[in-house]
Amino acid sequence: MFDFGQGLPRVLVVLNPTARKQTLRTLDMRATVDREEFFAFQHGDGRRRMIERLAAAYGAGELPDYMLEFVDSLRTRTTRATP
Amino acid sequence: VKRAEAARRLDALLERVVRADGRYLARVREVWVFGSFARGALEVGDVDLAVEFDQTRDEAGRWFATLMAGGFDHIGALRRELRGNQRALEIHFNELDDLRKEGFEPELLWRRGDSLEEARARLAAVAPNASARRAARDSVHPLLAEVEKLIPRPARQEFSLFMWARWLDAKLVKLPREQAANAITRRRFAEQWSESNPRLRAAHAVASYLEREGVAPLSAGERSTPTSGRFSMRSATTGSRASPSTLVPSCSSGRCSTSARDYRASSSS
Repeated sequence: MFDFGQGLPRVLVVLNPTARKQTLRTLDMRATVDREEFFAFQHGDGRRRMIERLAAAYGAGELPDYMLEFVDSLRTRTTRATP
Repeated sequence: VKRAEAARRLDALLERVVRADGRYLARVREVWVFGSFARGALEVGDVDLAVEFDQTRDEAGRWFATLMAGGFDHIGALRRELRGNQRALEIHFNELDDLRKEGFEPELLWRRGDSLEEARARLAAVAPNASARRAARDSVHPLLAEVEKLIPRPARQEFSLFMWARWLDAKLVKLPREQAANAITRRRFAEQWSESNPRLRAAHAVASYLEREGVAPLSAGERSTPTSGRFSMRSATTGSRASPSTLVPSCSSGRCSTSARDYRASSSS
């Protein structure tokens, strides 16, 4: 879904494509990072760098509420991975 | 769901398990309850159950392969036998150890050999607790507030992360009920989907939306796979890709269903 790949900067995801009566909704998404940065997130050290950004923002109290659950899930994973 | 109603549905499930009618119920070894009902909440979203059942290694592989090939869903059949016609029972199969590792504290309701009376006594012993609450709803990026049930939890989290990181610029659009105007797009869509296929309507709606921006013609079906049902469309002129996804199950229990996890695997690969 988020792997735009092939240099494609834009993806539309229809969320309810088989709905017959409801209004069709789509997320019209444009990537604002190049594919190298995104690839590093999935396969390189990009995820670590992202987590460092998150940690810094969390420490500064600058994380919006919608990100707190994600931070919690990272904490859980870390706790589970720690012997 | 009020607690009394949830308990009634649980009682009916336990009765079915003890009776062991059906093709799969005799395989059930243990039934545990966890989540908000086990904590004593007076109102619950779903009743989360952990069901341990017998399955050979051979069956585990064969059932999965059969399901992937579009064949019979044995686990789904077991789920239907357990649920009956009741909703609001969220069943996790053979995940008891994982649940405990994740910090849940399941309460045993029934173990093979127990009578229905013993199971009912255990159910009654799961006491209400007025201070317990339903699990908090997932916090989601405001853009997804209206559509969160259409997107599996892992995908919602990644979307939120990328929006926060400013890696993504997104908007939620209500698509027009219109047909593509471009003749080439229309011909390609007609070759890809029959008139009765609801995806044809979705494809036309996307195409008409993109045509307003001058994106046309679109081609269809290059990534179509029989198991996922997902498909994509590509603009021949700009390289923009429109990729309608299938409707995917929501995850209201805080633990995603297998299908939601599978969706994530397929969508991020």
